[in-house]
Formats: sequence, C-alpha cells, structure tokens
Amino acid sequence: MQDKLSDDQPFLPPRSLLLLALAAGLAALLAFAINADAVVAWGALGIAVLALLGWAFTAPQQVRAVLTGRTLRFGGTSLLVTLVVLAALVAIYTFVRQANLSVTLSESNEYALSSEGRAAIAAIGADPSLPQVHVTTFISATAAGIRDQLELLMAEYVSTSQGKVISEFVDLDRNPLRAEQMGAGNPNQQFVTRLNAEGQPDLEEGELLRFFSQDGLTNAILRNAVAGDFRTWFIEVEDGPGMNASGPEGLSTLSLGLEQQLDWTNREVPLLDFTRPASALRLNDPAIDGEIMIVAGGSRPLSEPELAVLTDYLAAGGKLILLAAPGLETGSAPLAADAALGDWLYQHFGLRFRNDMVLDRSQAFQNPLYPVSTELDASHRITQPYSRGFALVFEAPHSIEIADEPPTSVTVTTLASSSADSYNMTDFSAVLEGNIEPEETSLTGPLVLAAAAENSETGARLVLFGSTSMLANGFTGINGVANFDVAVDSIFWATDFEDWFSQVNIQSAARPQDAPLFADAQSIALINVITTLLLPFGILAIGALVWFNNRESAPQGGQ
Amino acid sequence: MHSILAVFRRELALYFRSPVAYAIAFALLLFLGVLFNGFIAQANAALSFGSGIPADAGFAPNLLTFLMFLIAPLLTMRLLAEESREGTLEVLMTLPLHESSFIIGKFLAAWAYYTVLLLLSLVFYVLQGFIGVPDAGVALGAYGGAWLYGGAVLAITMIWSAVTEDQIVAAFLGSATILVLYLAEIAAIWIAGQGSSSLVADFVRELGLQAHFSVTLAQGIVRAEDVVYFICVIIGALFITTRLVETRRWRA
Repeated sequence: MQDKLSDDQPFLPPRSLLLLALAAGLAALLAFAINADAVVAWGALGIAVLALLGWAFTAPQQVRAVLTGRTLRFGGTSLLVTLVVLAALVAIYTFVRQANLSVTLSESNEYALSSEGRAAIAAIGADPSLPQVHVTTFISATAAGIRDQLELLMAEYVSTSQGKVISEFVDLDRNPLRAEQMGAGNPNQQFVTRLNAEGQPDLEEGELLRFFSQDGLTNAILRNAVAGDFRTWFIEVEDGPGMNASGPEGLSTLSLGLEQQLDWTNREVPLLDFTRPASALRLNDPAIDGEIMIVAGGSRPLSEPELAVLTDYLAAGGKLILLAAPGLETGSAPLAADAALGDWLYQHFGLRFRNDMVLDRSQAFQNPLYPVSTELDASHRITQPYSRGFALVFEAPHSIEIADEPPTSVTVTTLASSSADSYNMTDFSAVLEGNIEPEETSLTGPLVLAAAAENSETGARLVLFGSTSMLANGFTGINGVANFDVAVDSIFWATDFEDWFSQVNIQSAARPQDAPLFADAQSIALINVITTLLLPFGILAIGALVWFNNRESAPQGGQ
Repeated sequence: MHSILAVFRRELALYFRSPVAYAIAFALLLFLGVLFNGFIAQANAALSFGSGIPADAGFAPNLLTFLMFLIAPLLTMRLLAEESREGTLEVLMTLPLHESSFIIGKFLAAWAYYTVLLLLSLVFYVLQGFIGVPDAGVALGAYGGAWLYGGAVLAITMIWSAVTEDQIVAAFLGSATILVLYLAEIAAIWIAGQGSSSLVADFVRELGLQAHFSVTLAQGIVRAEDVVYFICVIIGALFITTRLVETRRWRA
C-alpha cells in the first residue's frame, strides 16, 4: 500500500529537511577531507544529523515508505543498479587513465617535443656512453593544469631518450625538503642533473630551471648528459700575471668566467709538473673534450726541459695561447721572445716574436707605448665579430714575425696589426729614458701584433698576442676595446668549444603558426560584416522566416 | 534503434521549427562575433607595439564551452519537463518503446543542434586562416573536445529536466550544476591552497569539466582519459535520467 503525504504538512516541508541533510552531509564530507579538525566539518555533520532526525519526526510516513513497500522494492533495486553502472563507468575511466594514452595534434612546441629537440634527445638515447639524466619537475595542485601538460611532455622525453632521461614529479606541498635541497620554490620549476655513482640525482652538479621552456629543458638535459670536460692550464712563469690575481694585470676575470659561466676546469701549474712521474696531470688527453695552455708573460726564457714539454705538447696537436710580457718589463729577452722557443715556433708554425717593442705616436691609448690596433682580420673566426668598430690595445707589445712560406700543413693568419705610423725599437734602455725616436734599424708599421696558426695535420693551434694586456683584468670593460673578447674567442677557436657548444645548445625553429595575426583595414571591415552582421542576423532572419511559416501553416493545419 | 531514430527526427525537427533555437544561435554568434572583432583589434594593436598575437584556433570552442552553462539548460529544459507537465510523458510510456529510447533520441537531437552551432562557429577559424596561420591540430582537438564537452553538459542538464516539471527550475538547476563542474578546477586550487591533502584537490579537479578540456583537448592534446571521461559522463547522466523517468512506473 502506498503511503501518501498528509495534507496537514508542517511549516517546514519534510523533503527540504532531507535535502538539507544531504547537502550538510556532503559539506561535512568535503570539510573533513580538507581539514579533519575544522569546526565547519563537525558543524555540518551536526546539521546533517539534526536535519535527518527532523525529517524522521515531521514525516514518519515518508520514512516508512522508504523502508518498506514499493519504494524500497523498486527504488532500492533502481538505486543499486545505478550505483553499479556508475561504479563500472568510474572503473573504466580509472583503467583508461592509468593506461596514459595520448596523441598530440598540435604543432606547438610547448607540449610536444620540437623536431630539433627530438633529434637531440634521441641522439642522447642512442649513445650508450652517456649517463642517465634525472629531471625533477616540481608540481602543486594549485597548478594542476600545467602539470598535466608537463606530464605528457616529460613522457615524450623519456620515450624519445629510450629511458636515458628519467622523469620524476615531486609535489612541493608533500615534499618540501626535496624542493629545498634542489632550490625550488615554485611549481613547474625543474631540476636537471645526472645520476651519481649511487644512482641518485647529483644535487651538487645539477641546475635549476626557474621558468619552463622546452628548449631550456632540452639544453639543460644535453648539458648534463654531455657535460663537456674543458681544461685550461695556466702555466706558472716568472713575473707572470697570476690566474687568480685580481689586480689590473691579473687574469682572474678570465679564469672565473671560464670556471663559473662555462664550467671549465682551470689549473695553474709549472710546465715541469706534467713530466713528474707522480703527477696525475696529463696533456693531450683524448678522453677530454678540449684543453688549452696559456702562457702569459714571463721574464725568464724557458729551460730546456720546459721547452721540451711545450714543444712536445704542440707537436702532438696541443693548443697554446702565448702572450708576450710587455717589453719594458725586462732588459733581456722575455719568455715569449726567447730565441730557442722562437726558432722552434718559426720552424713548425711559421711565426715568432721579435725581441722588440712596438710604439705608435699617432694611434695609441694614452701614450705611444700603448699602440692601438684597429686593423682586425675580418675573415678569421677570432676577430671577425670585432673587425668593425672595435680596437685592441697592446701594452708595450712585441711584434710578430711571420714567415713568407709557412711550413707544410700550417696556415698562419694575421689577426691584428699596428697602424702604418707605428715602428719598433730594440733599445729598451733608450725608451726607459724617454727617448722614443725611431732607430735607424726600426721596422715601420703596420706590424703584426696578434696572429694565429693552425696545423691541419696535427690539429695544433697557436695564437700569439704581442702583450698580456689582451687577457689582463685592467683591459676589460673599456668601451670599444675588444681585448678580452678577442682573447676569449681565441680560446674558443683553439679548443673548438663553439662547435661543442652548438651541439648542446639547440634552438627550435619558429613555426608558421607563431606568426602574429595582422588584418588590414579592408580585412577588418570584411570580418566585421561577416561576424557581426551577416552570420548572426542571417540566422535570425531564417528563424523569423521559420516562425512566420509556422504561424501561416498553423490555421491551415487546424482547418 | 528505429524508435531512437524516430524520436531523434521528431525532436530535431522541433528544434529547427522553434524560433527559440534560432534566437539562441543568433545571440551566441553575435556574442562570438563581437568578441572576435575585439580579438583581431587587440592582435593588430599588439603588433603595432612590436609584439603580436598568433592565431587562436581554439577561440570559438573555448568560448562555447564556457557559455554552455547558459546554452545547455535552454536546450534541454523543455525536453522532459514539458512532457511531464503536459502529461505526454505518461502517454509516451504506454508506447511499446523503452524509456531509454526516447531519452537517447531527445539527447541526440539536442546534441545535433549543438553540433550545428559548433560547425557554424568554424567561420572564426576560417577567417583567422586569411590573416594568420591557425594551428589545425589545435582546432581539431578543440572542436572535437568542445563537441564531447557539449554532449556531457547536455546529458547532465537533462537529469534536471527529468527531476522537475518546471522548465525554469530545470534550467536553473542545470545551469548551477554546469557552473559548479566548470569551476571545479578553481575549487581544487582553493582546496590545495588550504594546505590539505592534494588528493582531495586532485579528486575535485578530476570531477570537473575543465580539467578534461582546457589544458588538453583545447590545446590539441587528445588524451584517452579525457575522451572516456566525457563519454562516461554522457552514459552515466543518460542512465540516471532513464532511471528517474522509470520511477514514474512504480511511483504511480
């Protein structure tokens, strides 16, 4: 028998109490899930219980109907079947979700690997000698949307690299310690590092990407996988500028730049350290990506054993930058202009320093002892970027003698020359006394102040600079003076660092879809007419016509 | 199947004979048109400042999904509520066809009308093709996603049309439900911000509509879970609607 509601209803409809109980119950559930100690949660639960009791007291017949008769029989079955169907749908969804299947239709480089990135990451995967790279992506429920997209992209990184890239998502809220260890503070930041010997992410060597960009991530992975081992040997010489010296003549700007910005390894060593039996130092190591020896200044000629180390190194394809000490520093031949070294260089590379000093009274920096070179070679990789609008300042430099016929397989290039008004002097004592008039035997400009030589057979590369001012701290940051830039580029050229760097520094090509929209006045007018008049009012006109026809046909249908 | 088709044809014909359907299409297209002109003006202005805005292939689908909290209740409010109020639902139930047939038929008709709206909005994609290069992949994902999104939303609002005889109440409740599901992602962010377990935030987000559209389908990323989510919502909502209509048999 069906129970019917009494006409004598209470002021508050019992059904609304039931709805209130349901709403309060849901609110309590949510509040408990968010924060179990919340007063709101307990309050909502209390309201739900009271509303349920209120419903039972005000409409006992409804309670009876729910518990007995047709409602229970049919409604219960219906509810059960509905719950089973919904549970089945949830199960299907969960199964598909875990399968993690997706297709990226977009040509955007944001959420799918660009072709350049794909090629670079695939190359890492194909090289068994490279280590695994661990990418930690910091996520948060507050930025869940971007997390979904990054999950897809990272899955592509992992599959393209054949597992060489390991991806891990770390919730900032659940694992703040991990975030602190890696220096992350915001969602979607990424920490990229190679695995250490224990198979754990190397926290010391990794790098944090503060803002997400696909190229940035790919390059960070490449840098960590193909971590270049580049070394600079600063040779300790008598009266030479120190690698860590921070004064105007020191080389600290260069050494810090190489170490901190490019992750190079710098060592200041005497030449004979390479030959000591117990020494771990080794030149021409094929396992490393590049090395260069820098001999800056030096008032004393190299000893025979020292010269042997240097020449053996060059003969085996070594890279050397040789900077002569300013001529005024010494009365005798300095290291760079010593006859023994000079002869060897001339014989094997077709160039050597003269034991002289170049002066220029018309094109100089402050005084003639600082000749300025504006004639920089526009074709060589070292000086090409500075061939227009830049100058090199040399401090009492030695000139460079270049052989008319360079040795076989050797190419010599003049990088910088003094002006036509310059000249050289060999009587240093006269210069010290203030007499800078050209001597009878003086050579006149232009005189070579910087030159590069390359032996294509051995791979040896040599750059000679007339004075140490090319690398000195005191000549950095002077407007229009490219001393430091040219010196750094000579290091890059000698070690082929740029070739290596270009391999680990990809730049995705711009897509046609990234081109900005542009509409001229005629297009704007046409778009305006189509989108705000033709289309909407056309639809409205059709609607009016349909309505009119229906209105016309209605009486006819009725007849 | 024949009965579903018969109901579908009848309902679809009703849509296209009703001036309300044309009024909805007019208002929607005018609104989109005005916004589109604003978008083009903004792109031109940005270009003059040295930056620029690329084509947005998902322009219309994104707006349409947002406006569904208004459109869907208008399209479905009368489907069952009107039949129930006029007593024709009981007549239909005496016919030799299952409740699910006319519910699915009515739903398919509403979805077909929505599909026509969606297809009309393709004009904005085509126009962008004349002044830029819209991403075809994004367009495919966004339009496909908006189509599924629309189906899910229409199915949900049909539940309320079955619950009440009053069309206005059905429309209001349907609109509120869609808004709640639309804003679930924002609610999830709020919940996550309260320092509670992110599992709850993730659950609330997964429940919502936007998490399965805006960051994936609308960007041209087709995830199986998003497609299945919308299909499951459609099936679940239609099943509940059928059950609600069925209760009339044993309640009477």
